[in-house]
Amino acid sequence: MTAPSPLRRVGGSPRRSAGPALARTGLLAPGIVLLVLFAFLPLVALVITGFVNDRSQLTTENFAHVFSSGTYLRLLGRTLLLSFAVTVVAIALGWPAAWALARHVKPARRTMILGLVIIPYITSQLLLIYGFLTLIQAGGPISYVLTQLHLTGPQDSILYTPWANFLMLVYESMPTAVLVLYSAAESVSPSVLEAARTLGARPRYVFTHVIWPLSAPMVVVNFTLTFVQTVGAFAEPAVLGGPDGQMLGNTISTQISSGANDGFAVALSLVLLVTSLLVVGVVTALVSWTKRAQSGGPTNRLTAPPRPRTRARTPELTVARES
Amino acid sequence: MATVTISGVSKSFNGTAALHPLDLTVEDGSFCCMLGSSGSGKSTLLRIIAGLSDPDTGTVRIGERDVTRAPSEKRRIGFVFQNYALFPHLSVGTNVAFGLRARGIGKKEAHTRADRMLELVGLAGFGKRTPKQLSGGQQQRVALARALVTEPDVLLLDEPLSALDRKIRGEMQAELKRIHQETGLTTIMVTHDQEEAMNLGDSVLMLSHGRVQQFDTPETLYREPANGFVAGFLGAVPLGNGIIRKKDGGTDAGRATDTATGRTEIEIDGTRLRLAASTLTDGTPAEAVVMAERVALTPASERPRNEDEHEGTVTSLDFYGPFARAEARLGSLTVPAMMLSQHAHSIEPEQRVWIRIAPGGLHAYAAQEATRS
Amino acid sequence: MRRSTSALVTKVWLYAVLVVFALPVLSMVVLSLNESRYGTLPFRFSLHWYQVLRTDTALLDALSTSITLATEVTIVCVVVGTLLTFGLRKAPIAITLPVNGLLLALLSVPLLLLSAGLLSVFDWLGLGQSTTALLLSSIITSLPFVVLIERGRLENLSPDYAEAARSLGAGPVRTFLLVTVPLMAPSIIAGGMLAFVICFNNFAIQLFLAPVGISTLPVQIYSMVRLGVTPDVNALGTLVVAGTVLIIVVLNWLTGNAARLFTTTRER
Repeated sequence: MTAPSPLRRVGGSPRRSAGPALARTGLLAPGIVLLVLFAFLPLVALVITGFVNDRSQLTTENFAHVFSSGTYLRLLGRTLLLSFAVTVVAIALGWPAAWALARHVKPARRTMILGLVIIPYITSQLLLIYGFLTLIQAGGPISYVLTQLHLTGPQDSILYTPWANFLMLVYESMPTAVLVLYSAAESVSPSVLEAARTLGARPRYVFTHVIWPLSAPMVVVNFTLTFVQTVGAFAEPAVLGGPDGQMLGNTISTQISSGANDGFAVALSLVLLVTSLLVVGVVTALVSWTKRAQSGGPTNRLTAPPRPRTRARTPELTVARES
Repeated sequence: MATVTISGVSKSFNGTAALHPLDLTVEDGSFCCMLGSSGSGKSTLLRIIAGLSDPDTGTVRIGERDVTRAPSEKRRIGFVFQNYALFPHLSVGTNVAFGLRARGIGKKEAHTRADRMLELVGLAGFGKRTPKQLSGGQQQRVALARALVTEPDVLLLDEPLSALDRKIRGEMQAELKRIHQETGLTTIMVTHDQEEAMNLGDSVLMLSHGRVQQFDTPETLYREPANGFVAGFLGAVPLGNGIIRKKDGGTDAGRATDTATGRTEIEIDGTRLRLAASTLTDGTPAEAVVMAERVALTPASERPRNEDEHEGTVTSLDFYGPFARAEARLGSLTVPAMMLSQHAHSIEPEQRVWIRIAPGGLHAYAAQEATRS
Repeated sequence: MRRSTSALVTKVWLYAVLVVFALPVLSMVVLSLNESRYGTLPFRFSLHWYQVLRTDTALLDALSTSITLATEVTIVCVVVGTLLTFGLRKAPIAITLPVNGLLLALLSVPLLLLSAGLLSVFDWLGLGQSTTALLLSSIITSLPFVVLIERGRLENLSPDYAEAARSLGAGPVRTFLLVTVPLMAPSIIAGGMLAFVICFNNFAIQLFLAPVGISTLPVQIYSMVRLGVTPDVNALGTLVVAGTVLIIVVLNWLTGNAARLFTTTRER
């Protein structure tokens, strides 16, 4: 609200200015207490626990343990690589669908399709994993159809292999990809694309020089969201992945559940978090580099990049800042 | 540079005809304005020429090339969009250089040519800014430079000035005229503003409901609107329905047109008014429309009535800055008159006046034709 | 011509993606109506597994635990989140910046890692794995969604309404209760429903912070899947998905476009 008018201030007591601040404290207090205790403290705890050993001494031995063993580093590498692949595949598969949704579907039908997209998005992840399991297991619908077609034997299934885990993670990442890239597609104005074509740009050139640079910010948002979440996956590999499909998340969850060595579990978590943020940072830098290379010339750096219109009020903006 | 030839082009959306089969030739180097209200099909036609929309039937030729099935990027056209459609992620200079770079021209040369083109549109030194930092008029100049720099065969403009305010619009009209004269580029512009079309076009294509109403020079269009719709679009006001009365030629000495065609009048409620040349035959029911700016009012007290004048009474007078608009009663008719404000001082309501409708200020069209719009 | 072909191809792709999205759910629905003991085809229609579900106390207890937890969490989140949203509106940057930073961290740190941190804190507080720890952890992970949604609405709300009320003589409290809150109602309800859904599905938190002997539905399914499933899970899954669809329909009706609410959701 605007400042109180001078007229009012004449009759007003000091309480009038103290009132709103007091009221605000009242409004904010419960939320801030919760956030400090259960968001700020856990994050601090993560760091501290990682640097403390069984005997409550300050130490880096948890990290030494992580780095001394090739097993954990290999698992870390595999987790990062797998998450990267999952994210890229989800974006690549989601893009054409999101594009069609924004461009070639009647607005009236769009709401319904978006509704269908968010069904898997807000369905319990465990139900989806279980549904996926019933789908691909030997004797399940896919196996049944393939067997009827004499393409596979009745007992063949990709269940309990790394592929099952990979497909599940892609499946779970797809709704995010469709939703975020849908905003990206919406933010590219149709007349700008037509302008590029009338100027003699072939479809490939239009993509690399107009569509890609204009969508890149949202692709980065998408990558960040999906990659960071996929890196922390543990239920999917545990249920579907079989012995060869395990990820670092499984090791961490086992360590946490056993409660034997919290420091080590936390050290693993921190290493995972930091390395995945590094990957996100590198990808962000790469994407903005390709964007700038395609837009030609450093002139853009002088001014803030234009913000796609649709991003202004959607929650992912806040996440975008993080990346 | 090339002649644009359109033959039998038609287009419908979801079963509704947006464009009925249509032929049009825009001569090499000429400036053609496509005039009509929204939904007239003018933008559809322009987009078909540009290859942004496929015609259902017919062919489009640019010069000798049949481009009907060619994608937009292979037509060698320049297109300026109503909302400018500048690339938001590129600087002004890179925007202008885009078409050259897309055609594989080196960065350095492309930017040199882009800078030269920015100079031509009066934006020298703006190359490093982003489109967001420019005003609407400046953005439109960039869009123009971007379309021109590739040296297209045809320049296509889709309501390029409609988003600009009045003053800038005038400046940009002059700018477009100058650029057209300097480049000699075949130009086709879509507009809903008749003044703009008249000012800029060598020829004006008047469209309504996907059909050509008239294709002529601006003068002909104004002097001889082909039908009631065109007349109405140019500002003519319906006067009333009446009957055509032909007289033998030669009775009215001194007027060449009258001696050649005879004199045509329209009789409305017993009042007989002289028409511009009309092909309608004697006794045809017709609707008359009048152009207010071609009606003159003279106070009866100033001088005796001339032969070509009618007696009437002023009913209203309104001032619009430089212009004034009066209405006078002539028998049962209400005749509008538009004049410069400085000429309106001798006129006041309830005054007896002599009404003179200039030849060519009154048109009549067969009744059903006049109502189509 | 060329363009309409590519439009058609991407459109077909979109519908193919939608079909794939539906497959695991459809598989569950089909198998819930199938007689087979091992969730295998061929299909023979039967409502048998819905009958079995009625007496499967483990699953039903887990479901009721989940619903109770999600309801409690929703109530707390709506109250605290709404207060926080209004409090943050005119707060100085010294408050908004750290609060937003924490909300953002909650949305972007993988839940597995956050669970580890929360467990440490509850260990320090002497609560360990307990119903209180479970409740508080669920609240904190659902809270950011309520704030995000309500804030989006509040920022779009024209101050004219409140000012009009003030000019008509309503005091600040009356204005807030009679004008601002009703105008915010759709987003408050939407935020609450989202909090419910997020909490209901929050597997990692529930796995690590629930006390021994208490299973929420996701945790119950997790252990069943690893130890051996009875097909009545299909029946329950079908019912839960039906509830989910209902929630989406209501959210769509409340907000015009439910999909817009979910662009930050994460589930893992």
